[in-house]
Amino acid sequence: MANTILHKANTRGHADHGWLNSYHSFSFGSYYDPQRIHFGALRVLNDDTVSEARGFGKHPHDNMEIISIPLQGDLQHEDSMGNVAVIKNGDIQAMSAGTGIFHSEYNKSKDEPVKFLQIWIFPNKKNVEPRYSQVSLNINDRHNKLQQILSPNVNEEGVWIHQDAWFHLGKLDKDLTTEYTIKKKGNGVYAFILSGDVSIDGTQLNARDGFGVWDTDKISINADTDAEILLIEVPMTI
Amino acid sequence: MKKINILVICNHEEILQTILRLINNNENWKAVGANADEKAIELFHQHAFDLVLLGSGINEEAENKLRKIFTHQNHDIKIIQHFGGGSGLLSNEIEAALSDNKNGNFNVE
Repeated sequence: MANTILHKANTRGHADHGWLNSYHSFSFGSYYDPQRIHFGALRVLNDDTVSEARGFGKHPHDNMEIISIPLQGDLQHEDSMGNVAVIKNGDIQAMSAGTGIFHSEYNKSKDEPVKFLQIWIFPNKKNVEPRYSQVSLNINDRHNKLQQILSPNVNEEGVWIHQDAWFHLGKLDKDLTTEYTIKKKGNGVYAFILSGDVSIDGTQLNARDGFGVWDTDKISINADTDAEILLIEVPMTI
Repeated sequence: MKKINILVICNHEEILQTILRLINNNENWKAVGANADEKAIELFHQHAFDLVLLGSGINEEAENKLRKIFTHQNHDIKIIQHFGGGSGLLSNEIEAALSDNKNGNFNVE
């Protein structure tokens, strides 16, 4: 029998800093809910909107796998390894903070806000050499199917991280039904609904809801409306 | 109100200073830091800490040695792994450790 956890969108933590409007699916910053710390190795799922030409100044990270998924607009990244890049919708960025890295993230546009998800995954190995990567994916490859955007394997589609985790994105037409099979025994999957209404194993979900399922081999996904969904498969023990 | 005394150990000096600054912004917490094992042991012998935060760059052998020394001196000392290297999780980790919240125990064994 599968276990589940439902995080409705309106129960998320919220921080409005003016230039940054952020919703936290899990405890983060000044938002602390002991019942909402993590889902297995998934520690942070922030739904961020950054105002025009504003952003996060230079700040450090260590021992964390950090994934950014732009949803709208252009996000500029600079880091202490010399990387300067702009990521936009369709791109995926992964950073292994390891022994330590400094970076900044800015909205490159002076005209429109940038919206993106920032996801932190506990690494399966501490103190790795810091690394940065990004890929551009064809968003048509997720129409009515699940497109892999992240894995633990260098040669697979998408970016890779130091964890037995897999991410998929799907852009599903109304009434489309599909299944997701867990890649690694013991892992769980956390679904985050980007838009529209979706039912997973019979549980109805709306935009920005989060739904975790574990102790199962697969989940059934039905698009109740046109919908976009992110699936985050992670180990449940860390 | 007695301040919570926190020892932060991190081999990355810039990150160590950032963590110390963030912790000491909380008027109820007081942190000092060490960027090397020997300095950490010296500080631990000199001060009564409530919590030890292990940052980045500490290998498994050093971590095991520090845990053994610290718990030998103070059976009740709480030793937690800090992840993320910045403000995102720091307060959460400390709050969870102080409340003995198992969900918030970020130690990865």
